[in-house]
Amino acid sequence: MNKNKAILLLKKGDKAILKTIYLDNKLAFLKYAYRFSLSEEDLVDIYQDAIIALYDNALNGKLSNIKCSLKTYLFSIGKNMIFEHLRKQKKAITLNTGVLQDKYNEEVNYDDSVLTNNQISLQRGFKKLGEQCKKVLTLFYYQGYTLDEITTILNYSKKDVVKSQKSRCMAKLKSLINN
Amino acid sequence: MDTEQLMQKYFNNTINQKEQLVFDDLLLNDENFKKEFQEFNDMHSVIKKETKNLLKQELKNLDKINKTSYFYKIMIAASFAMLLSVGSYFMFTDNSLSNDELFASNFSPCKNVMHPVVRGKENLSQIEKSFVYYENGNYSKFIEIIATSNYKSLDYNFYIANAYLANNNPKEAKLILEDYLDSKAIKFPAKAHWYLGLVYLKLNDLSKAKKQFIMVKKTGSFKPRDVDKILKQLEF
Repeated sequence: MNKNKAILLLKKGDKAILKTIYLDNKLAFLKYAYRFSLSEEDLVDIYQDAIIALYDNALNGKLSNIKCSLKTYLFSIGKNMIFEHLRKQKKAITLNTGVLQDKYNEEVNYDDSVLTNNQISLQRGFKKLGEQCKKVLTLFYYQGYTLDEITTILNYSKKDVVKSQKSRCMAKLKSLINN
Repeated sequence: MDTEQLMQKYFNNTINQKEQLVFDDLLLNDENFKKEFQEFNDMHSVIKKETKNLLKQELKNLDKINKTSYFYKIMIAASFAMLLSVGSYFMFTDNSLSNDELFASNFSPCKNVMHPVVRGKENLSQIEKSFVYYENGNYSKFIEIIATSNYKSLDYNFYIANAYLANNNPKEAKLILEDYLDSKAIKFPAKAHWYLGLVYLKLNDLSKAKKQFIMVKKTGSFKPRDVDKILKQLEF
């Protein structure tokens, strides 16, 4: 599958393509990354975070203009995360491995922000919501679908039904936080 | 455009210059908008975090399916490469995949070319609605809806087989694909052989899988490099 098709599918939130990318590149990433002397567990953990960051960037439209391949972009995220991990562990980054000169130096931005206290209590409430509420709110607030699109995706009869469902879910969420 | 749509565009990086000016002005001068934005931002951050947690778990589960340690494979392969002193290292690692891994690295449901989903379109037919589910990975719902749509073309069966395969039901996919390939005037014969090959791979029937992949080559030019690669891996 070519890059643009894959990006388009990722942008639609297609997890099947994300999992294909994950499996297709995992072995190559680990082969590349084991030179950083981290444990397999750490490397797999970082690789998973890199894949998730790729997905998030696709949904946020950040992949639309990338010039390199998806693999190079993904590995660049992974490499950045490895450096960050080493920095946190206060481990020196070995310079004689050629990693500074390799091709995985794309400029990549990914969100690693932490939730505020208010957001943490909101998160607690969100976890308690029913599946349908979670779906509606995720499609609207995270995936950026319009109410019309959500009506079709979730097979509702009318847009107004989605609108009131969304309002009910938000009200429920607020009551969960306040109680 | 309502303010929520404006915020959606802002968070999805699809906001244009004119809309950005409106957005900035509202954020600066409209207290209600500022409050709404804060709420939207909180919801966006929380759901993003939750989606990440969910994805992380799904990836861990995916790894559990591929039980053999990748790291172990790398080390074994590297040792062999050193012992043999030939350039067979990459060949070995590529060929050491299990049937499940080989399936997972080759399977992605066939792209919807029957009814490409146009975002924002209203009054969708039953078939079009079903393909919205297909494109969103909700294969059970796709099967449920398309089954009641009274479709006429046999080529829809090809997509139904894909949906069953994506839902980890290779036996049902096999029956449909075999029936589809027995039919005349079908649009996707080479693709159907490819997916039937993957079905057999999933069912651990390697000789039948090989036959199907050879049929892909004979029938058309679908994924020629992938077909050669998988045939090579099955020879190993």
